[in-house]
Amino acid sequence: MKTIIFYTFLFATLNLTFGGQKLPEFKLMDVNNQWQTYSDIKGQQLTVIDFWATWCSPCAKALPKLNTIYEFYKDKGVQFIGLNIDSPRNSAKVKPFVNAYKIQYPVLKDPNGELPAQLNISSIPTLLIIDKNNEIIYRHQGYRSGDEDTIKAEIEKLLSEGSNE
Amino acid sequence: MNKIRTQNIFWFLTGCLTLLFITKSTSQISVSNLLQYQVGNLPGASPSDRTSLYNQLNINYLYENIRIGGRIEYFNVDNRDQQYSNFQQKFIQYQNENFEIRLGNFYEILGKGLLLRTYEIPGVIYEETGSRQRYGFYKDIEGILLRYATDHLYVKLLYGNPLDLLQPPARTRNQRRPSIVQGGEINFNFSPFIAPGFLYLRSEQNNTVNEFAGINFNGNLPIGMQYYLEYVQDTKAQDQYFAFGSTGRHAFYGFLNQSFNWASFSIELKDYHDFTLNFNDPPSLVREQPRTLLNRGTHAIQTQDERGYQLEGIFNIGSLNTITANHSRAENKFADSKFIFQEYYIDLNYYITDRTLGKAFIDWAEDEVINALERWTIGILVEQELIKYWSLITDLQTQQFKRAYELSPRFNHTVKNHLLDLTITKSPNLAFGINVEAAQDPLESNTLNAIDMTNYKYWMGFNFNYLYSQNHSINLFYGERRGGTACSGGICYEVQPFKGFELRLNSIF
Repeated sequence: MKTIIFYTFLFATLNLTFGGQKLPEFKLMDVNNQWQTYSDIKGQQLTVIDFWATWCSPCAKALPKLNTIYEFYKDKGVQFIGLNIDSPRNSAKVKPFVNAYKIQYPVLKDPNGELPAQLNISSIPTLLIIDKNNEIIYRHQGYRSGDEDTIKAEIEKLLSEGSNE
Repeated sequence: MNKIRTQNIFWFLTGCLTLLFITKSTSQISVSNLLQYQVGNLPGASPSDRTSLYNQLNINYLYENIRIGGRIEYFNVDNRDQQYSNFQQKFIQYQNENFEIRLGNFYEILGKGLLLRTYEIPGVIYEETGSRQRYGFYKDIEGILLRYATDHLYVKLLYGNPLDLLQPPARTRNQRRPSIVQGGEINFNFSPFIAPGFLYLRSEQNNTVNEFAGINFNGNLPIGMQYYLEYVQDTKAQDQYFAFGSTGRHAFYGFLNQSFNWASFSIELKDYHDFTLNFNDPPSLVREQPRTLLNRGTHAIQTQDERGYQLEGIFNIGSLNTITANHSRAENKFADSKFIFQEYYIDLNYYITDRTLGKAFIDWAEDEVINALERWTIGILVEQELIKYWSLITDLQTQQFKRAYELSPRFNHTVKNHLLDLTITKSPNLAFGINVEAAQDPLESNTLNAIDMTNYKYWMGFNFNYLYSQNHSINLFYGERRGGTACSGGICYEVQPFKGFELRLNSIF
């Protein structure tokens, strides 16, 4: 019985992929404690959401690279949103961290981790790219040196696909 | 496996698929699955090739404003008493722009968690020491939650049974959820300078009722400073309103932060007394350390009696480089004894070249609660790009501290811990590495009586991680993993040592 269940899980895990997931509308506070709604700050073409925390080393390594990509695409209809999931243990440090790393794009706080739970995000950093119809069209887990090229190439590809529609 | 539970799971899955089929044009279903398969055991335990399988399946169904979800956990091992297959979470939720109601399992925080905080650390599989059952690391409430939010008002109301995380799934529901909590929070946001909030919570367990109330303020001062203050206390302590120190049942937390172009600073204060509620999690005011040796030796907060502070500064040196300095101090008083924890930490993150990132830290700490004195920890990490998209990460850490026994000084000894981690990564989807640890610590092998304090114990493990698509990842481990305290997402817990082979699959559908 155990073997059957194991192989069922394994097969299901390796092969199943459902269609694209929609990003639900959400409302969270930014680092200045002002409510922000996703539809009010999303990009015209694409929105890149980066899930991170102050205690996560790969997240900190990725932030300057994402800043650079944001600067390059911000006038091309691509918005970036930082989604900080620090618990109350680190909430005092979030705004200082955002300022120290000179993050240029909006950073929202989700101390309950509700949005990651709804989107089945189990590790950080995780980066999502969402199209103008709020569909999640790209997902990237972790950060390794060089990943910024992959992310940039993906944005470029999605922008060109969008302009051909 | 319990037949009724299996039937419940079958009907739940069938129901989800039926709902999806009926409403397929306007609804969506999302699924995530975490599978862990192990061949191995605690080092030295028999049999050494024990096999076990843990699986966690999460299903979310969304139809317009309604969300239905559930979590099924499954654990299979050779000992039938440890096996289980449970429907651990289920919920139905309605949400519009301002209002939300949720029936079933949920996570919630009141204020900064002084009164109540339930949480999940995603991806962590916890092994309970006594039963050796494995399960997801989460502490939820089963009940009802209401939220209402506008730009100027935020209200939360809740009622339910919080989970006692340390009670494994084999226990009964009453053992796992022994208390009832009901309460809420209201926050007003009419001025950016001062936003007040009020909290209330009533708890009941074994016919004992407790009531707590509190107040918080947060805001942004005109000079760019941000602040937060919260004070909560037992409402029965009427003669000790706003008590501080070792009197009255209370908890106080506050912070202030300020940023400049060249640096950012934060200061935090805490004062907790007689505030271990089993469903709260006040901020610990101890730096959450990502480096292994420091993470394992984190000071554990003592909410029975603890007061102290934490200071942190991040200094910019160039566009990508930073220096972080941190100091924290806590004082505990138990009966007539006083215990001190203090830590000084400084690190440097520096891009030596475009292709080489260097990190270094030095830390000095003393924690009298766990008898770790004069603890020095030093670490260096270098990440070097070898060829395009291929990098080598070298992480070296070393630590030394003393344990002193006032009544039996002959047992005094020095502990040494060393760690070397070599990882090769290939962007965007591959990493493999080797991890070696060595410790000269008589408590690791329970040889304190033998006073054989010069022997080293070694651990070596190999890791492999591969993202084989956007939604699927595989992790393999082979070797021996050291146990001890681990902290993630602000929560600390015990990790069991392990020797053997482990496979983890993470999937999102």
